[in-house]
Amino acid sequence: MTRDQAETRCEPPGGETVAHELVRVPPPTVTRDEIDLLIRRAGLTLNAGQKADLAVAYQHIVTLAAKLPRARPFADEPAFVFHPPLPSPPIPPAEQPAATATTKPAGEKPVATRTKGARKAAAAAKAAAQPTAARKVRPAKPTGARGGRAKGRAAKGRTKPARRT
Amino acid sequence: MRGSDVLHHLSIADAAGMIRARRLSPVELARALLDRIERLNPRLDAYLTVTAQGAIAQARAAEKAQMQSALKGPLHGIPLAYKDIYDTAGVRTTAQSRLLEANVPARDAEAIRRLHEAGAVMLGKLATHEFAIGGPAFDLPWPPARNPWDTERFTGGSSSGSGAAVAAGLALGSLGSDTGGSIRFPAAYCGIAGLKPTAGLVSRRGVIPLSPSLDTAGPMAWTAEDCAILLDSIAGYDPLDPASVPSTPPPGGYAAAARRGAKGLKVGIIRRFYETDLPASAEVIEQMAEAERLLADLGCSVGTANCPPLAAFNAANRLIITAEAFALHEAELTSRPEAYSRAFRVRVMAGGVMRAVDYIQAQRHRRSLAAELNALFDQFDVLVTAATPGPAPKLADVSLDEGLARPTYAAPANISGGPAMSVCSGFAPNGLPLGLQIIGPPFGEASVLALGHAVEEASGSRSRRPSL
Repeated sequence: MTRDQAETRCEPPGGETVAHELVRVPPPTVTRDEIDLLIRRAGLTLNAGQKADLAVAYQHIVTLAAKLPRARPFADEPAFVFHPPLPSPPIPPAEQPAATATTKPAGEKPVATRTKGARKAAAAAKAAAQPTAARKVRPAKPTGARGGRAKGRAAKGRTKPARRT
Repeated sequence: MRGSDVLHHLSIADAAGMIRARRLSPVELARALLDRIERLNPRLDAYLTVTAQGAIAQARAAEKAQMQSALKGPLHGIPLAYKDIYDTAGVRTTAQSRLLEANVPARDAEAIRRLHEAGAVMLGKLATHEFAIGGPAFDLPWPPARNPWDTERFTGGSSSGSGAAVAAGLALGSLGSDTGGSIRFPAAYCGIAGLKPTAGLVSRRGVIPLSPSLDTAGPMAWTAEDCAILLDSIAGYDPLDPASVPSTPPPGGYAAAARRGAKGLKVGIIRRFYETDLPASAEVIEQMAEAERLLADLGCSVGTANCPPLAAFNAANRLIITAEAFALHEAELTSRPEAYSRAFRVRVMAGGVMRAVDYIQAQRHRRSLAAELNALFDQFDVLVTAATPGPAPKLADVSLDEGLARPTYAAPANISGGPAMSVCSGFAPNGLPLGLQIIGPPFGEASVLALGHAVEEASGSRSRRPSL
């Protein structure tokens, strides 16, 4: 047994009998000092047995992580789409005609729609401090974008039911 | 009657039919099961909490409504029990952890609310691995559940009590949860049916989370048809579960779909999982060969499905679970790690020291793998593979680093997000049940249940019960 192997093998806490053997330990890739550093950084306070268990589990994690492909195109990232909450207050009646007038199916260009909507919303927020300008940034366009989304949800049966209590 | 002539071995379908026809009293049925729980639970440790008084009260109300021909729903008077990670109003919900020993939720989990709205009677709360991952463990306030086919053996987990209780006739059905196989393993080892539904089909509101981006809630019962009956009641959009997805059930519901037969289904067998990636035992290899013959007899067209290696699915699944579970438990693990079982710590603690980039790469890889697996459904209606590499091992042989040290056949469906179920398709020479895993495309529950039901009927496996 090498020094590293000796350092990272599972030692039962207090020398008690291990009920279940930790089998199939992968080749050691981390030293006890490194484990101590990782434990400190994680804010954990562990006894010797718990540290030994963590060392074994961490080796498995390192082995599993090594199986993940790393070379991906920058743009190959659809996994982290964040969907902002849908607007909870009802759309003011004055804006509804613009929504029904929208002919483009909702969700056709969701990112562009949201980006455009977000820009308009930011502009509206900025203008809020200037009452005169605020009136100028309330055309039907952003309303149409929102209305389009709402229409799309309804078309897919995603109408928001009443809150359960 | 297909199931049995004793009340505790009735299928949900049979019991519901008898209650509708006023040939079975809900009170009589509940009492029969409570008596059996009292007699057998000390040997099986399937129940953590038995709600006998509440069950009798619910059954009496069900009987009164039955006499007035005012059935609440398709589960009227059906006695069920739930994995102890589902919130139950006024009834302790522990996740089999000393951290939640005194936790009494104020309201039911949404899935349970729907079951009770359909008329179900609650018998109690069932054993689980600690927080649905840390087990089997002997260093917790409750012992682990035991397999009714051989009490020295593992039930599989983490829905361990659900598997044991349904197989032993201590409940007609149950709810489990599946993040990396936790419904399908106990279903396979205990010889019952368990369905991991499509992610988002069943609400997880009020279910204690393990890994929120992977967690699913689903039914477990003696037959695939019973799972379909339970699914009919619990499936549906929940605006208060952020992962819930609007969906349309098949015409006539899932139970009707389960009975439609398997003739004409295009079945792809994923051989590499059990032949090369994680070679299965001789009895499982034989079971899969027999299953292939059976599928052909049922009128399915059978081919070989090629997909990425099992290790790739397992790496993504396990890394995500470990990181997300640690995040949920960080406060307690950093302040009092000894409050958890050793099994929990071994499986979760490394999430605190793994690199953020590894979690992110696992999520990216998950998307690619899901696309590759789901592309197979252009060729096949369903995929079939083994559920486990062998029959249930002895409890003493279960390693603490299970899942980390070697892949499982369950991970691919957790990664793909689609439905997957284990049904009992036969028995090993030593009498232990063997599970067949059926995987479908997202929202393809109808085909999965239909094939599961057909396999059970053709194999005759549902006529055999553990002798206790």
